[in-house]
Amino acid sequence: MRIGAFLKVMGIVTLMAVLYINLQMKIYTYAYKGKANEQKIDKLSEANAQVHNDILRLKSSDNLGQKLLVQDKTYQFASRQRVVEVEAGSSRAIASLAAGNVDTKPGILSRIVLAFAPAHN
Amino acid sequence: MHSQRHPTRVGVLFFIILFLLCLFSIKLALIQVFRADYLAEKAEKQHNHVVELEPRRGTIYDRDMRALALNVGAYSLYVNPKSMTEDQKSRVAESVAPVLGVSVGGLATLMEKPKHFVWLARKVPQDVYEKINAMKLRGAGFVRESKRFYPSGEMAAHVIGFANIDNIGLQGVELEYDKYLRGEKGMAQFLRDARQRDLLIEKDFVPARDGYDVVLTIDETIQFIAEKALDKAYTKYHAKGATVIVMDPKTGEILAFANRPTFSPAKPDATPIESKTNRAVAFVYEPGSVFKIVTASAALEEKAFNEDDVIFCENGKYWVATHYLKDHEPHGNLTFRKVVEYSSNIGFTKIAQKLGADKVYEYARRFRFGMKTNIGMVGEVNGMLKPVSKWSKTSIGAIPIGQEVTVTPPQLLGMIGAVANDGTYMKPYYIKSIRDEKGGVIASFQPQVVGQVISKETARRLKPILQGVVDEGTATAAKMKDITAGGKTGTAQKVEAGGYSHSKFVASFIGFAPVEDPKLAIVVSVDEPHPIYYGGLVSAPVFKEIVEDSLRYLATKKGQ
Repeated sequence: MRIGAFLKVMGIVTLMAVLYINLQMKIYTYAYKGKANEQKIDKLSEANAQVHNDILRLKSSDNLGQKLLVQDKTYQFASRQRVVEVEAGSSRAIASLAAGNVDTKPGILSRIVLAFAPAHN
Repeated sequence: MHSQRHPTRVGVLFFIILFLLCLFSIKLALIQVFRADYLAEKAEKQHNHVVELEPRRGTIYDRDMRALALNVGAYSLYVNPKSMTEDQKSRVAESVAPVLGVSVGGLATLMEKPKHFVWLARKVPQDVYEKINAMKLRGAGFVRESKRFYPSGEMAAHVIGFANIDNIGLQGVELEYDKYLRGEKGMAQFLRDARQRDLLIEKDFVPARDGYDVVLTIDETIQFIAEKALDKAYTKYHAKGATVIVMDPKTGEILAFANRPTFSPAKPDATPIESKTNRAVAFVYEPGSVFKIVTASAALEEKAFNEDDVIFCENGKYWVATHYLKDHEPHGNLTFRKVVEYSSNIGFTKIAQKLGADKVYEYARRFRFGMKTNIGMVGEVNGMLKPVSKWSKTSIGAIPIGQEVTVTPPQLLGMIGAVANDGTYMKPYYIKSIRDEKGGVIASFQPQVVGQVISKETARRLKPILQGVVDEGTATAAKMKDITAGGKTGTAQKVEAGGYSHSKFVASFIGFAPVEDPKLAIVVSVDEPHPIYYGGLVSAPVFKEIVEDSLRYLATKKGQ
């Protein structure tokens, strides 16, 4: 009888110990997986940062100015008289666009203005 | 039964087992009791890995939040020479040297150090990292660090400055605001397995505080316009140096600031120290005729002269104390207005003689000559303005026309800005705000009124006279079709061997536009241009190009 109870207790303790060890191993398994995922995220972040920096360099005033104004002298800053402001959401403007009366592709002057417009964060 | 037949063997076996048990017990006691602390500490070191968390160095932005300097990731190559064989070291040296562009011998020497960690190359370009990483060299590895990246290249180099390989600011904003930009390091303690691989189990964590961002008043587009125009004059006239500063006269905000020669902030070691010196604040020179604005302002403010008063300019030759003073073009009678337009030295000397030395000095001090503008740049000097007690007999014919006085371009900018701003002197400044990574403002800098140096009425009388300098006077090269501008030219002889040189000049133009509502005040200064050296021909066209493009750009900027 006493041996039976002893064996039962030992059995339960052993089972709990095995469960505990199993959970501990799971923690480590997830830790390894987490580390691997972290490295993947790091690589993607880095690639994103590289692209972001390339964009910054390409859209900098120095780069755009060199390409548009220095190397290709056909461009210049547009004077006020040659810029048309269209109010955002204007129903007439939208209607014109929908009717195809306005060329949706930005013209040279718009591109010049847009190229030198400040970034909006 | 067996034990009864062989009691000796059993006894021996028993004692051997007992002996071994005692040995094991002693060893256990040694480990668990006497060496417990030491072994626990060793295990702690092996299993715990403390990582220093590098903060992100703050970004430097222009006034429209366009990044001018920011941090990017960069890999640094290291080796562990103590754990490498000679073969492995040779392989690393021979494979890596051509990619890095260094000698094999140099790398081999580095790997002779008896250390566990030796840098071979810091913060290499991305393509170099990818090539070397693909080689999978034993004993070599990469550590991810960060380095500064300047998307606009050399633009505004003297304003932004540069940081060293350890991201410590050494010049410009990178130095002056290093304590805001650098942030604070953090710490994380990770668990490591038996193979020394980090696990994502944190035992301790102190986050790094990223550096604050600095927002300048500089407009990146106007900066480009100014530098492009300055480059033309600097190259065309083979100048020794040049400076341009563009300011909003109503607020004192610096919109563009450039020197030549210049340097690349990404490669500061590639240029000599002269190129890195911020000559606009650190060098002084005799300004010449641009200083005549002080004399003209004093004359009008003190009501000593009106615009149409006639002054006899001695047909180009006038005796002052010990020598003849000459005009570059002889004139007879000129009105006050024309004296300014034609920049007659004799005319201005007579104006100064009527005012008196004390008044000339007083107005020069009102315009803050002989003292710093406190623009906020390291190395700014005072310039030199002699007190009247130190003036010689000839000084009355020298100082009012910009000789025997030394100035810096920011001081000239402050003067012309005050005239453009109806007599109110605004302190020039170039830092707009300091922000945290979420955009919260840590510090903000507002326009500061230094003082009313001349009355509004005097300024409003002076502006059309300075417009006449551009329309009909010495600065017709700055005249524009649709934009009015006012200013003053200067062609100052440089001091050489105790006298004035006849071959070395500083060509300047200071001006503002449009006259009716000035949006820009500009100083252009070109050092030793040749063969042409007149301010009206060398510097005035630079002013014109900057004004034309900048005003068009500002007019199309949203919200303007």
